[in-house]
Amino acid sequence: MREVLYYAPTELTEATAILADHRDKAAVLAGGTDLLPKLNYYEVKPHALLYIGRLGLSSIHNGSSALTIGATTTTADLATHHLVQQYAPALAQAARLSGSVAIQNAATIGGNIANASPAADLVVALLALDASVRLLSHSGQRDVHLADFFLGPHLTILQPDELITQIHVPLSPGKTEFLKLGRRKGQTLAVVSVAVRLQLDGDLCHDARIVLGSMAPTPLRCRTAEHLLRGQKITTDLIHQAATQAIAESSPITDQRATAWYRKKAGEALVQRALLQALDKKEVRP
Amino acid sequence: MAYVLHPTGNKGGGDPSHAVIQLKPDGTYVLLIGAMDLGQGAPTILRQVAADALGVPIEKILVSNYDNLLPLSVSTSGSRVTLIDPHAVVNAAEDLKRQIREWFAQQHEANPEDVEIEGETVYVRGDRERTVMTMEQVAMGAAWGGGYEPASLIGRGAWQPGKYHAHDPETGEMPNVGAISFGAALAEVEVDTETGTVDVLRFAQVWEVGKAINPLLVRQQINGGYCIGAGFALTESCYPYFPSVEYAPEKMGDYFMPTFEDYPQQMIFGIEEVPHPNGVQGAKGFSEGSASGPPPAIASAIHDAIGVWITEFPITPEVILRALEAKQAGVES
Amino acid sequence: MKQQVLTFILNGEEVAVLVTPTETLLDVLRERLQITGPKRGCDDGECGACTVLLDGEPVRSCLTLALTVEGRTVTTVEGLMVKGELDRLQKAFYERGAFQCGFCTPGMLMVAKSLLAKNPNPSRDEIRSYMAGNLCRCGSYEEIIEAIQAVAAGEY
Repeated sequence: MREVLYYAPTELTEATAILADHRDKAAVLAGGTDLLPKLNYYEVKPHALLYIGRLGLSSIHNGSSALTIGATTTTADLATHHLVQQYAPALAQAARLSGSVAIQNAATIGGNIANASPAADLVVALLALDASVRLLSHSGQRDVHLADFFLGPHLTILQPDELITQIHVPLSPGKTEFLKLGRRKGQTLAVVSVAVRLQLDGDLCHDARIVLGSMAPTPLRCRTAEHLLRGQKITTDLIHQAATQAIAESSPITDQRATAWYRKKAGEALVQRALLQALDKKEVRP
Repeated sequence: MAYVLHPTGNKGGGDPSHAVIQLKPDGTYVLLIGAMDLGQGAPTILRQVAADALGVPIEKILVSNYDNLLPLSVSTSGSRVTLIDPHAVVNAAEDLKRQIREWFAQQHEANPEDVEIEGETVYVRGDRERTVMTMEQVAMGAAWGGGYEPASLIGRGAWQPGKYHAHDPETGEMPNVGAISFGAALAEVEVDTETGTVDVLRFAQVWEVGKAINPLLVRQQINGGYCIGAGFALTESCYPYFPSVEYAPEKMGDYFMPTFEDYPQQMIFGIEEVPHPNGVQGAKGFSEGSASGPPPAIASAIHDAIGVWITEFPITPEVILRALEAKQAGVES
Repeated sequence: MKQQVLTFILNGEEVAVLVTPTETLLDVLRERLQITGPKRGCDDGECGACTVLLDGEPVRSCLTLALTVEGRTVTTVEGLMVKGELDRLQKAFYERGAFQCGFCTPGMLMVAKSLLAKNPNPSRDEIRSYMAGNLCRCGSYEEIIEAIQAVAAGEY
């Protein structure tokens, strides 16, 4: 029988050295909620398992310009942590709506990003908050905007010897909302999800983010729709236009959960709703 | 709102069950019956029926129902077990009591008709003081012999609701020798007309079950039937699947059973009892019917909310949005 | 495959067991330690029947690689009884018929235990939301909600 090696390093240098040794033959394990189903059903057969839960990467800090979130911070921590609730409420909301309590206790923010599911909940909120990720390898580290990280379903720019160590969420003002539609109410994957952030200057929209989940091969920033709002006075009409534009930028597929037709139709309503509800939200002030 | 008539047992007759009750050497009883339990509690109610028929506490009865070596109960299907199997159990209990009377009469040189069984006490009428034995003593005597004649005290019983009659090919008529249970279901829903999602806010279901042998089990079947029916109504799809045949679920996560959060904010249940002449103590089955009420009740509540009759299941959000679009197009044309 | 020693606290007692790197906690509990309370429903994290408490928090044992619990504390339904006495939740589930076939019950009990530890008096909506990851095909949700509320109300 083929040997599978298991590593649970406590030092980052150790972890990156192991990754450099095994390259794409190693599977990185954090909460296990995405990897274990694949292992259980023999969909992946790694030569080595690198458990990164003992690297001390489960923490949330408040820096001068950004929240720094360790890669193995669990979804449950994101949902309940006061700093996330205060400075990134859309992320807390996405965390709260993702999976069940038992999944939230295990699933990590780094895993949600690395798995690169088009339906990932946390990623949609993180994109609306202009988050970036820190990638570490034995030869160095780099910071990458999350918007530049995804290439396709379960495809990213992450190199086989790289590890996500931190997520940076810039502290910036704005009103945000995260909404999600599933096929049922409890424990459900997104049929369509949306995160929005509005930076307002009186009733003028200074800047906007509209991000869709499950509506394209990767979580999608709707840049043309955002542009429609930028510098404009926010009206119900404009919000309707922006929602229509956001959906025009999407390219959803049909699957077990919904058809592309439904995703577009309900997605438009969801974007409108998110924008309208964001206006009523308390403004985040860094 | 929906009204359900649920046939219990095979309406054309046939469809028997068999039971065996053995008196064990320690004065307890083993009920052998192949009534498979899927969680609905068949062994529990059959144990109750056996205890009543033998006039002994339920703790004295052990049920064995998990083996194909056991007497046939045809199947756990068609809500038939509660209607049919109790008859087989009662018949087995009567057969066992007859054997106990015969054995007891033989030991005491009396007539079997004069032997009285009062629960766990046996004696010859008119000669109680001299002849009285506990059932444990009877069981021990019959099993171990010694100063008594050994005997295998094993009662057998079979029953079916009349012989099988095929339906009349001309009229479709057939004799109704089973029973019908009656249910009413009431749903209150909220429909999101922009996303098509349906939220069942409150749900009530009342069933007339003849006699609730075990009211807790009846309650579980009513409320449990809601979950199965509501899943069928709103989220779960089997062949040809949703949205079309090539999207068969691959893993459990692709199949959308209702969760706690999909459960209504308020559930109301009710049990009505009108003893049925074909049932032991008037009992009849109903359980599968409790899953039949929710789909039409939810569909009619949706009609009440948005003015569209949906005639396919599951009523997914997409089905709702397409129905609303068709309605709009109809209004405009 | 090469086996390694895994040491952890299981239901209050330290256990050491040989495991292979790809075994899940559920595999080890059921097949190596004969702790069969946690059930294997889907092996996919969907059904909740395998839920155990890891350091007091509910997790899916089918999605937890066994070796990652080294030195940690695992509680299964077998650990709920204290000195032969059923836990209050177990009593309430039993008396109120909060299950039919019983397959989901060990998972339900562990999540309910964690809920009441965090929130001793949960509302119906809080129960529905916290328990949503545990499926019951028999549909005993109503009876489970009532059993949890009865324990919260001090009836057990």
